[in-house]
Amino acid sequence: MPRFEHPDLLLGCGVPDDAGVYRLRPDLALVQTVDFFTPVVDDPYLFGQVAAANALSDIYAMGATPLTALNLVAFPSCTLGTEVLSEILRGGCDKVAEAGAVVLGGHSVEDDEPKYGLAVTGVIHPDELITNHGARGGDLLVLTKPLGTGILVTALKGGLLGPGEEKVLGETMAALNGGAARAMREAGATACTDITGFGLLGHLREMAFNSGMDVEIEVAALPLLPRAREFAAQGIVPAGAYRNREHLAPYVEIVGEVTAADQDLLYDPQTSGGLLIAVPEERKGELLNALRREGISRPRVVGRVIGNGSGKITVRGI
Amino acid sequence: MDKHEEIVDARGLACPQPVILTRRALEAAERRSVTAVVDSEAARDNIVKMATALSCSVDVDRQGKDIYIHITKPEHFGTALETHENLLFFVTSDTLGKGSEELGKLLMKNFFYALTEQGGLGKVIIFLNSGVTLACSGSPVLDYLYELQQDGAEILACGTCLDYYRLRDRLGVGQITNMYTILEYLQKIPRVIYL
Repeated sequence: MPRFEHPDLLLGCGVPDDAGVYRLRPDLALVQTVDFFTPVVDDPYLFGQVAAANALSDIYAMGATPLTALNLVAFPSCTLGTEVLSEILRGGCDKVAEAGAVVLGGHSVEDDEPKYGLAVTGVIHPDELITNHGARGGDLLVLTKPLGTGILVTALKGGLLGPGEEKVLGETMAALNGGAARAMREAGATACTDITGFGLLGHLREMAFNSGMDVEIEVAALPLLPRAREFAAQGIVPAGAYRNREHLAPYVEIVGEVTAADQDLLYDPQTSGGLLIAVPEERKGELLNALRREGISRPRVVGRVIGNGSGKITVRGI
Repeated sequence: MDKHEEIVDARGLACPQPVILTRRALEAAERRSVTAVVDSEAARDNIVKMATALSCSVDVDRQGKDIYIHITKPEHFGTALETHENLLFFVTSDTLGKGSEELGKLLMKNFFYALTEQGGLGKVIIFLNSGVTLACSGSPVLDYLYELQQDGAEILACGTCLDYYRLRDRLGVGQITNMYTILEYLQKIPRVIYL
């Protein structure tokens, strides 16, 4: 894609990050992102919520505050009926409202397969931007949501989830990352990204490479959704996890005992995953306390930034 | 077609359909073996994982774009974790009881000998700390453990412990495991016997 050069373009195509950033005034920048996908759950209202939480997440991953959103809809109105679409949009709008932002409108096209998402605009003071390339040697890496949404969505499609597990999965994917963003601003995070389609290791690789650092991850610290490890061991793994592994394997070194199931979880593509936050070690307690105050029940220190490097990831087994 | 064999054609299907169709075919009680045909590496890997987790033997064969996975069920089919009469033996030492080391080793040998009499089905045996030496070559109970495993027992040895004693290359029976799996078994299996 051609790159743009402009004195006020702070983050664009040339620097891969979660959202683009454009300076309006010395003290104000626009943060913009767009994301949409096919349904991950059958319940249209929940799908709308998840799609909106996922789109808003890119704004939060920059440390920014979302202001406005536009719906993007592809829908087979003849076969699925407009009440399904209304429910999707109601889910999306409720989430945007929960984030304190507003939906201004949107655009829809006819398509055989439904798709929904949003383009979201937020704001931030340019000096307060939290990019994915600011991690420093010695920083700790904190993850704010459990892993395994790709594996559990696959299990759900196979009819293998109990109602309790399905509920936890839905709530996890629909949870906003806004609280995590407030907490990391307060605790002086040095870098952040959100965990989505490339899995924990894919997004970690981006953060490590862009920061010019090597990192390490402890399997024994990973927060996981209930039964995710069990389903992984039984081969309920989405194809995306295998693609992620293929791309990332050259940069990943395994040390000690890491089971095939745990490796699948590290590469599992996440839908509306948590924030991965780099924070100086001395401010770890501050960050964890702030996250818990924001209602994040299981923030975990999953690893650390080792120091200058080329984006290598060491995974330590249990 | 022979009713003891079945072919699951899962070509063109997205995950998790191939693994679920294959698992259903395996669960049909009268079948001894199932051949799954898939056309993606992800579907292949998933089916191999599932079949291995169910203690089946697996043979993969590629013919052009198609991948044939031949799966044969073990005599006692089903994961140990799924039955409710499981018994977990948690072996943290290479000797049984406190006192003379020589006696402790003999008692351990006698114990596993006695256990083989009962058969291995539904039993999970986890070796930890110096207990891992029992599952390694040179162990006085290796043959009994092998017999128990053939008979349906699941035998697991702590990987950290094998590394500590530099025995990883000498593991003679069972699988290497980690603390997650050990903890999961301790919590899932109601009856645990500590040795």
